[in-house]
Amino acid sequence: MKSFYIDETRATPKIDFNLKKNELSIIGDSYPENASIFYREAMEWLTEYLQNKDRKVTINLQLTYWNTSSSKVITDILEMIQAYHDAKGDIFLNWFYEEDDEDSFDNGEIFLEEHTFPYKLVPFTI
Amino acid sequence: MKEFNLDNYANVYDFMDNNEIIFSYKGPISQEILIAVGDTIKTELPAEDIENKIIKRIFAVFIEEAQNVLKHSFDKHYGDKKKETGVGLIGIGKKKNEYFFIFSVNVVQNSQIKKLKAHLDHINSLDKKELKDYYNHQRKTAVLSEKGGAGLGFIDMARKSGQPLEYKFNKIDNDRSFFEILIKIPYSSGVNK
Repeated sequence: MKSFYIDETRATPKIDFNLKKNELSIIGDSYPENASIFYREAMEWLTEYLQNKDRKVTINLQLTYWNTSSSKVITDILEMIQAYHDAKGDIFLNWFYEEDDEDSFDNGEIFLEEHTFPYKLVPFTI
Repeated sequence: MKEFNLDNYANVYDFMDNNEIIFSYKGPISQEILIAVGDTIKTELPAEDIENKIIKRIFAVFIEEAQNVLKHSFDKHYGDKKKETGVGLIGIGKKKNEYFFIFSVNVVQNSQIKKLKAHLDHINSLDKKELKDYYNHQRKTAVLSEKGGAGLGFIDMARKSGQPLEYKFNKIDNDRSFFEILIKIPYSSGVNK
């Protein structure tokens, strides 16, 4: 397995899954026409990566805007994190929200409210 | 077209001006077009008395409406590489300092109307808490369609707006209708919090 990296574009985020650091980051705007096509390879990589429950994983989700197609993918990623945690895996999520935008903060609470894995809501400014 | 009358173009301009439309686009709504128009929202709409989150709500509703047209308009354009793009009309306006509105028009098949109308009416019947629950339920149970749709677009628009979705079907013929939808984003924050 190798690290996975995709550069940011205007409508898609940077995806930086670093195998050495066990730090996986998705950063930027996400409104591809079809999120399931855009994220397919990243999700396949993530599925394989999370099979190994001996890693100490940090996930950073720093999305400034995502469309509803992407929200489904984000939901799936959170469920994968939950499954890893439920299987006694060591995993931590940093969920970034925009400091001056209460919608952004609310989104974090809505997406995370039913999850029990460890996470932190981290403010950032653009 | 019956006759070529240059006055009609001025009429379109006048109509838009009189209805406080800031800008509008009619044609194939490709991903490239919606990115460009979306950028215009971010660069041209901000003003001293508008909070950043209002601009973000407008942007979000615009992207959802535009991608709806792109994916679901029954009127299609085929560009190079035979790529299929939905055709529609989309635009943004501002009613004094009360609210912004984002509207779109596209062609739908009459056979789709019943289901679409039921979905929109259901959304409009929900209060804020119920809307959030519905959003969460759909988010967790939906499977992305072949086109990448999550069935969340109108729910998300209603959440961003905090007001009922205004829509109308205008019959074209026995097979097709125009589907018009207008979403309001209140100018000052807190209203739909």
